[in-house]
Amino acid sequence: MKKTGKGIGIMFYGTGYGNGYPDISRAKAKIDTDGRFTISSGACEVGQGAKTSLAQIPAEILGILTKEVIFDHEDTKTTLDAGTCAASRQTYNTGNAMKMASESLKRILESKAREILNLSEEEPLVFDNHEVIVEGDPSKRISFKQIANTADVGDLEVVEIFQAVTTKMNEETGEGNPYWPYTFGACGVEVVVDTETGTLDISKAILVQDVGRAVNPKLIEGQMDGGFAMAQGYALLEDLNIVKGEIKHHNFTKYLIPTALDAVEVKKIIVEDPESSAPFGAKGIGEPVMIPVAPAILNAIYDAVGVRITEIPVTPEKLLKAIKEVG
Amino acid sequence: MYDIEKTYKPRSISSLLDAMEETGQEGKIIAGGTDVVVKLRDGALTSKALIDISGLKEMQFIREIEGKVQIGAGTTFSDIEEHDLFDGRLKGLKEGAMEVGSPQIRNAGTLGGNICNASPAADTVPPLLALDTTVVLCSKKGLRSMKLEEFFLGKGKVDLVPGEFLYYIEFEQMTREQGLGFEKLGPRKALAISKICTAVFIDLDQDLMINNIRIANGSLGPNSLREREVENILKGEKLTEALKEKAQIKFKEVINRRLKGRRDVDFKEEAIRGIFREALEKSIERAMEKSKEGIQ
Repeated sequence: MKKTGKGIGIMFYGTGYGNGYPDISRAKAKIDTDGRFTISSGACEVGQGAKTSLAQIPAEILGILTKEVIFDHEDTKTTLDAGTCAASRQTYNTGNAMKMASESLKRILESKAREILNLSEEEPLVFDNHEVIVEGDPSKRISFKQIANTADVGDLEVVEIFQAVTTKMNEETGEGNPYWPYTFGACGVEVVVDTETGTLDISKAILVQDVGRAVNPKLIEGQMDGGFAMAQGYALLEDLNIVKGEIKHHNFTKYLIPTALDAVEVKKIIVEDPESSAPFGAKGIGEPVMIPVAPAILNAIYDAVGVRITEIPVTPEKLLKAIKEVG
Repeated sequence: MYDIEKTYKPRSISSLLDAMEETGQEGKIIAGGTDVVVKLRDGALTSKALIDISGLKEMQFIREIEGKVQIGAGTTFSDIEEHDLFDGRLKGLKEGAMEVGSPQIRNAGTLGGNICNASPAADTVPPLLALDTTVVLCSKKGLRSMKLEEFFLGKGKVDLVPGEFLYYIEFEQMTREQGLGFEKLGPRKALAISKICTAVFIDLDQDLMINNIRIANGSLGPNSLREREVENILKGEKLTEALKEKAQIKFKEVINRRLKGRRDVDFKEEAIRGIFREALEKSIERAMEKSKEGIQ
């Protein structure tokens, strides 16, 4: 018999290394003699979209297109350390370092422009298409390249360092401020359990993620789909099968992860509640998108067939056994 | 790293037979390579010669001759998947073929390979057994045929003598009031070795009398096999809910007896009931579909 059930899971997650561990990202911004903008930072693109979304931050600040940003990343010879791509920290931490470096460079460009164009401190300036322009008087303008040609070597180069707020927890009292910031998320699923075979299908899925600010909504949706699939594998398939210390499922014939045919159409809802300490309010969501999914699936199984599964993955064998036990 | 010293690519049956004669016991036939290559890499195959039949057109066909369906051993799973002969009452065979691996594997892997590899989990074998398939073998001595069921000699073993290969298989084309159903239980929806795969052929008249039924299983024994004890419960009886349940209970008993002492017996004896039921319902649906057409 096929039985349907619904379940939800909710979560909050502290991003960054946390618990007082120094969490530091560095970025260097510069304008070269051709007037091109380059930003460099050691953040790694590991498929999560750092290369794209981090580059959007200086583009926003300097009034240029994202594709015009020369983003030098990963290369340890040319970039400064920005920590690991771990703890869902790059958007927040390296994003902040890149924002600070871009803003500092912008202030330098403003100051040089005022000097060259003989402008007072009060005259408002706008940045557009690699130019600094006096607002309301576009005849007064100067390009990044012109500024670079009058500047000394090193004048248009700035390094900024961002360090996240984190304090070690007091082991006695549990007090402290181990993580900053936190993200919040929820997941709802509907499952159909075959009570004769113990197999289950996820028939509906919804995933809601607080992101602070969606720097790149499409990339976030990609992360949400990926996180859901990963969690689905975690909940239903992935098993190292350790017997007396030996990993028996040591290859992908035995250690199963979801295929495209197993993937579920997930309804994705992005919640934007800007975080005051974050770059444009944006927080990392790499790990958070995975967290509420397995609890939601287990709750849906309970709703469908009345059994509480306490060990994952929920294979048909385990589920059928549990169903038989409750009769 | 491999022991292979020679490779052959015959373009005709006669040059295939020559290559087999020349290489003798050292020759290994490779078609899609989806099992042979894996074994080579694992060092589980030490043949000195490979005979590649993937380009042998004479072994790639799906045809109907005098009320029989014949499928060449070199026919790929994708060929079966795409052929409209397997859209109606014979759909159970297509369903089995579509359960094999991934699209890439189905494009390369062949029906003959699935049979000759003799894995107990081969997805196309239960439908073929339920169709009472005959295998036609070829050697320099000529053709030899036998029931597919008798062709299997154990896990990984088939009744091929030196110098002989599987040429094609054949089974009777279905008449109306007949249907073939298939159901698989695997750990995920693709690229998974089946835990149970079951096929049911049914011949059902308009009064719901079961004139004939053949049931075959994979992954529930050393080879895919017919389930005659369950067939006997159903054959010649009128199809009712009570009868279906009786057959399910019998199935559980049969599997329990066969797998006793194995780690997965508790699961499989239960799950077979559901999988068999699905395959049976599909076969009935297909048999009835044809009856309706007959009335019109």
